[in-house]
Amino acid sequence: MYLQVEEIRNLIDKNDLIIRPLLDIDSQLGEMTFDFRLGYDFLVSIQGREAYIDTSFNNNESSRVFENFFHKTRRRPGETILLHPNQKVLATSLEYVKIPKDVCLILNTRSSYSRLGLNLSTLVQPGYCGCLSFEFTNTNKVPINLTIGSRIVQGRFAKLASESNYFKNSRKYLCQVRPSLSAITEDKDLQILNSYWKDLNHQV
Amino acid sequence: MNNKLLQLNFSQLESAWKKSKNNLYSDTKKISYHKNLVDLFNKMKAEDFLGLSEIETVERSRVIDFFFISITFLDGSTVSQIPFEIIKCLEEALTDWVDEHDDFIIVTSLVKGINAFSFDTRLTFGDYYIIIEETYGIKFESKLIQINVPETLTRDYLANVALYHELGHFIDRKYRISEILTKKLIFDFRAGKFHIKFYDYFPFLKGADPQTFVNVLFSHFSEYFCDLFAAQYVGKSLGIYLDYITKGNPNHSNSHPATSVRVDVVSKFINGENDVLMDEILSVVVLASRKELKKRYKEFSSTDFENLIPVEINSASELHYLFVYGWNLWLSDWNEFQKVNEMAFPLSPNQIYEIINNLIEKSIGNYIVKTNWEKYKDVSAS
Repeated sequence: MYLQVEEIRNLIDKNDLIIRPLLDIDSQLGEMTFDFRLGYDFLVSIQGREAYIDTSFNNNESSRVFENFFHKTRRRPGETILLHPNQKVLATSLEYVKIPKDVCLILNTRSSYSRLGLNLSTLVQPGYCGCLSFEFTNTNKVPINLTIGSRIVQGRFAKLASESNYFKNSRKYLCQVRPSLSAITEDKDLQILNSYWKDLNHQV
Repeated sequence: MNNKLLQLNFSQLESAWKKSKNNLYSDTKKISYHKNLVDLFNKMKAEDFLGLSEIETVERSRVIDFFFISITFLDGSTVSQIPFEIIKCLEEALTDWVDEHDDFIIVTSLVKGINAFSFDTRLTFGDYYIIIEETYGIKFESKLIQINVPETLTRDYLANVALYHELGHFIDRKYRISEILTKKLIFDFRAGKFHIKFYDYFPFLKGADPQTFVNVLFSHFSEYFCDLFAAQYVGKSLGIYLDYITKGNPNHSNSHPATSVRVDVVSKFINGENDVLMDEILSVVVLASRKELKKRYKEFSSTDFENLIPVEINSASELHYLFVYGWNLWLSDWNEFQKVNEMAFPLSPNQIYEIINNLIEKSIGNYIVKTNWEKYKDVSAS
């Protein structure tokens, strides 16, 4: 069940749902959505020295240094950032959020931006705290210039049947305020799969 | 220096400038400064160095030095790198102490070395700006206050309390506070008005004429003043950090007093206790600057960081208290995080470190965004 405007407002008023900074609730809060703004830190994909990004452990370690494939940059609110065609950028929301334990957040690009070729679709776990992670790709044939602080992503809050403990397991991303690179290499199953591969291929 | 060497110097600048001339900055003062550098470069390039006298050659070389220093610090303050959160805090402190604060731009240079915080005096207090205006007719509306920040610590807000101390060196030089304190102490000594308690703070003076230690005295007064300057904003956090970087060194050096004595002075200041050194520094500061050393942070009571959310800051004085809050948390029982958030696993020290620094950064960032939003919201509505 999606929460509606009064329920969302109620959660904010009771500090059960934290959104900071909340610059303009009247323009950001819709009937059943909340608009999040583009934050000011970015990781922009670049062509590095490595031939590809490796998400396995089977090959040369340097291909798993994801920093080599992204350039860090910042802007100030009101400034802009240009996304070239097919370019990927990791960004965050301007807002830092803390979501109630019995609510999850579904994010999509606002239609004003998805029509221009910017797409995002992701789910935020109940109990999450941090700036929201945005992974944008420009699917248009021309560059898109985005304004920092603009309302770019729309969120729908879905009520769960029961509370979920976000900290039941150890978390990779905790109180993130800037975009983070993938932490996929911390996935333990990759280690297991690598051991199996080594065995299959008689590697030490 | 002959003209060929000057030409070499300028060629080196030309190579460095190729990269820096395309820098983008996020505020008008830096943009204006950069434009002046563009004009200066073009005028120097058009100049015939062969026709210069020896004195003029040396002077041109100094202008090139100025240029190199400027681009070093401006390169570290471009839109993609600038740690504008900490700069904001320092700008608020500058506003408290310098009425003409708009005449200055705080810029940072990222340096190697884990504890390499320092204030670079060369541009702010040199005569470069005068020479350039007289020689080329270019007037720089703002001067750079250059602060070196360890590259690895730009996002370490616990360590960055040291930047308030470094800003204190600018204030000290501007109002000549240490110079006046040193001269006064030597004068009082000669006049038989030297208080015996001063030996606790300047042990090297025992049995000696202060004049023979004038440089050491000057440096020590400077450090005491800068510690107090920082303590106005970050309280005892500075003392804690001093202890950390000096590893509690019990000995003084020619440039710095013993850490334990410095920490004691900071502690007395925060607790409102006076003694001979404090009285001396406080009175000279007022005379020299017409400003007062006093507590300039506003405490707030919050458990937001323990609840893993940024604090909503309402004023510049609360902004400075964020560092105290962060340090109090770092020194506290970390189990509180686990308890309050019902975490199944304890957090590692590195995770606590990331959380505190992230939340301080976001709290400052939110304050900047909100105050600017409120300011421009009214402008756009009218």
